[in-house]
Amino acid sequence: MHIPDGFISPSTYLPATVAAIPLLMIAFKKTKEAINDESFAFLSSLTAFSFVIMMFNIPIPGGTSGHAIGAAILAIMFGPWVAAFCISLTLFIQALVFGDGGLSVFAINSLAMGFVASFAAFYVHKLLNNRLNNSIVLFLSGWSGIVAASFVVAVALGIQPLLGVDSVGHPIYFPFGLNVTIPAVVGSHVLFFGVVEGFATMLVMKFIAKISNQRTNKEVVI
Amino acid sequence: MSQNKKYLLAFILVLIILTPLGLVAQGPAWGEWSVEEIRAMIGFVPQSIENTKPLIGAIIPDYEISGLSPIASTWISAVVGALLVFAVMVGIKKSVKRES
Repeated sequence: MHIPDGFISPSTYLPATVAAIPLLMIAFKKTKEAINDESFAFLSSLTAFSFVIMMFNIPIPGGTSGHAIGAAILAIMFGPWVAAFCISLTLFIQALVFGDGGLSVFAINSLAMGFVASFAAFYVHKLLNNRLNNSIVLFLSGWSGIVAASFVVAVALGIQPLLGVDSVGHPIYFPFGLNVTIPAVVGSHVLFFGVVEGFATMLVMKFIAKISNQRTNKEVVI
Repeated sequence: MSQNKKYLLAFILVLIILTPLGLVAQGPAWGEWSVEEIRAMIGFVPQSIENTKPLIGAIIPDYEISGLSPIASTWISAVVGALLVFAVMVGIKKSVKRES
């Protein structure tokens, strides 16, 4: 889902950048409020986790691949704004250092995988928490977050053929329309990468609960 | 170091050691094709995709370091990425402390 440079028209990425700047400023402010000696270990490790987990490319039928994001875990632990900042930081490092995702379209990648994934996961968790089995709630939070992000990416890519055609009628930007991008991008996340994100969310949250409980028991904090 | 920090660090380290598993995926993510792949697919390369160069050249493009094996490149990339994340987070934490 890391859109590269050149795939998206300026008429899409410039408004996205204008929208993303104030959102990132709020997210940064909320992250500064959330960061302290106590939260630091989890906040930084889970952000590093999101960077590392995105390197686990999973092949799927059709010759393509994809990966989890780790947004839901941060969103459930620290709220959607902090999660959006942490994922955006990961995306920025990926774009700047590794050329993974274009810098010119950073705002779109940040809005999709950072903001939309985090907010969707957070609200699904909030809505379902204590109403269903905890493992299922965690799975569904992760699944819906990444599927929501994939929808944004599919739309951003799929509208490009409408936004620029050269003199011989060839598209200037991404060449496939929504009829192709929606099934390909959203479909693969519904069926595969959403499931991976769901299980990752479930397992990591259980791991966190386990190590937090251990500490609580040992030091009898509460 | 507190018990929690040890567990978290061990968790990230184990994942970093396992990152070469991501190399088993041969194909790129859907849509993230190279110019050659797009040409093979539709017979031409859209102008903007052909001509747009990255604003800043990546230091380790595609997580590959020339002269090193894919596995070593992946490990170094994972360590560099994780360290950069920690460095920025430490920076933010310090700036918050200074402000307060």
